[in-house]
Amino acid sequence: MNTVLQLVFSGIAMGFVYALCALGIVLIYTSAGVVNFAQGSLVMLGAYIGVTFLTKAGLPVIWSVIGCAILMGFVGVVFERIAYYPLRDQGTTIVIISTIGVSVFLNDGVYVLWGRAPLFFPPLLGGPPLELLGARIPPQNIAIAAITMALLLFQTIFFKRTWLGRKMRAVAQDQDTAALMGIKVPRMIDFTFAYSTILAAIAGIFAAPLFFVSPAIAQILSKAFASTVVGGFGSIPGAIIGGLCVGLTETFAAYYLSSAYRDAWAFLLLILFLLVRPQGIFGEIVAEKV
Amino acid sequence: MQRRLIATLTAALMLVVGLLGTVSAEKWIPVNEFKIGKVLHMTGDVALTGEKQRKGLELILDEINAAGGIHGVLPIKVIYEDDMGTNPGAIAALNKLLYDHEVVVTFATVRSTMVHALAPIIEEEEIPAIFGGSAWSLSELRNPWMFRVRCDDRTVGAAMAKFLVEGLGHEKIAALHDSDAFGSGGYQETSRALKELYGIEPVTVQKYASGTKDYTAQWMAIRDSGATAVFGWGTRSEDDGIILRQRKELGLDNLDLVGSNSYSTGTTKDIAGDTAYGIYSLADFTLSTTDPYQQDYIRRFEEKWGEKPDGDCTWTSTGLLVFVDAIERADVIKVENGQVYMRPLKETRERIRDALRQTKDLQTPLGRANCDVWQNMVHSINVIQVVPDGERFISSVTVDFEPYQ
Repeated sequence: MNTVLQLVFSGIAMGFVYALCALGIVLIYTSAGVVNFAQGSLVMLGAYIGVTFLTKAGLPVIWSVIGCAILMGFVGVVFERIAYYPLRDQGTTIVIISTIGVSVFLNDGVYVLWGRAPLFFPPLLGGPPLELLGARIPPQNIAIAAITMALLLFQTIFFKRTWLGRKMRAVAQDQDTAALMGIKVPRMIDFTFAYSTILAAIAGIFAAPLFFVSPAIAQILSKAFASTVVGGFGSIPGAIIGGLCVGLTETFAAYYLSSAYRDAWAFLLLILFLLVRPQGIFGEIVAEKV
Repeated sequence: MQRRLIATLTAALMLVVGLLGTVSAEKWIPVNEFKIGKVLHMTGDVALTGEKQRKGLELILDEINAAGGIHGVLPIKVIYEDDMGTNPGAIAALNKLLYDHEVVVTFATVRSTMVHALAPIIEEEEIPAIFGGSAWSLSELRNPWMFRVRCDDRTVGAAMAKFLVEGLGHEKIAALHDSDAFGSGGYQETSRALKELYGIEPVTVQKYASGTKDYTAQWMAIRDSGATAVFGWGTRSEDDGIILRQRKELGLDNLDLVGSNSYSTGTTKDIAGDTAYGIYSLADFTLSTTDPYQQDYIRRFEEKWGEKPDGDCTWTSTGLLVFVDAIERADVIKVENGQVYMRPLKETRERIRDALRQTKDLQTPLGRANCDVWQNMVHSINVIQVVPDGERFISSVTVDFEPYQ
């Protein structure tokens, strides 16, 4: 029993990390209509900036997280102004290639700024693992789950109860109509990129103690992408549920089927969804109009 | 008449011999430097180990060049090409070294899977190549141009099995290994030795792909198997560091762990921190050595780089010493009127290959280098334990080998 529980906790922890990255992908997709292939690299950059504030500058954890989030918000706006805005009328493919270019730039750029050695990121919550029914849960994993759920709650309230959130939703639904209603569409897209990059920063800060800080963190993108497809492309609850599905699937399959193909199981789940339910768990079938 | 014919023939023969001599002399090529290639992890997620390999190589390079280079007259130039830590990257890097830079000899890499990818090119281009990958499958290629300067996995696997059973007294043993060529090869060698020497089979075999971030499933399977010890074959120090941290988090640090060399590298220890304490490792090189030559190597390395060397550094240092020793014995360099000449490239490479095969009792940071019939140079391995103030030397195992001739 405790093995199953241990696998559940581990799968959930990994799933929430994927979900945080997936949330950023979903937000940009719904507002700008493009898949941001640099989201994994932004997660990585968030981890590097976070570790710099925490261990180099010696800031307390809370200020490191806040400082990293603010800085990454600006990075998000700059990213949008360079990689998306000038190319937005050139077609989706061009913008996607642009985000891939930014990803390569960031992955190699961190070597210049931080060197090649992986950086150790201390757990944000220390202390011994929590024992529950024979399973051990590191405090770090509890923090990841709590923060992700808190962010989901905040995001729901923000998008449904605030003017800014409603404007961003309006832009996501129909940019032309939103513009006719007097909403400054470019400004709202700025906000969306900033917010999704802040999410990436938070994902990076929480993923870093589990992995360590290196460009390999950017590889999280593939799992986040699978999460968005499984959950339903464009769905915020879908990103969370999809992340959890991917995390749990790969952990259980690694134990019960084959540990060597851990990543393959996650992508098998993705393929199964594409075949059986391509709209994902929370997605809706959109009829093509002639 | 007959005398005139003999005289004419003799004169003609002398002319031909003289001309041949002139042609032969013209075959020597004037050179200002001796170019050695190095396929190196410069970017990608194993770039740190590449940096350490570079430092190990440049320590010896700078010392040799400070003394004038090969035979004291020809400086060595090492040209690096980035393999990005991938097989396609390694192939592209070697092709650049061969065709853009026309290096005379080259270093391959330390990752067996990448060396496998490079092996066909090395054989086709007939270039002497020194590599650090330890997979026994590389020996089985019988590539006449490849020479290994680390202990091979067959030797390490036998030493690992012996230490697990005779040194630590375990019989219920689990395996945890990277699923690439190195990890799989190492696992097979240790399993083979356990079976052949003690009739023991692993109670569970857990694999993982390089770069995996969560090992909960593997550790749970090991715990549920009832194993009292684990042997690990990891390719990437970065992965080994996470494996050790999660072992501690899951409360499984009571299981003895005996790992491959990568478990005791500086990178692993940096990432694992105190969770590495107590594990055992089969290491090519140990800082706790009592050998005066190796102690002096550590001192020189620290003086130059301000840090201690590890297994990633020592194989490139050893490789360059082996190369230079062979080049100097191969009679491929000469000096005339102040100009240094080298034999034609093909002939130079063949002579260096033959000289590499004759390597005998050469002192290196990894012990005495002797070329055996498998073209392996190093035949000893250390068993060490990672402790808070570094490493504790347990024993050294040297295996018998059959010299090349």
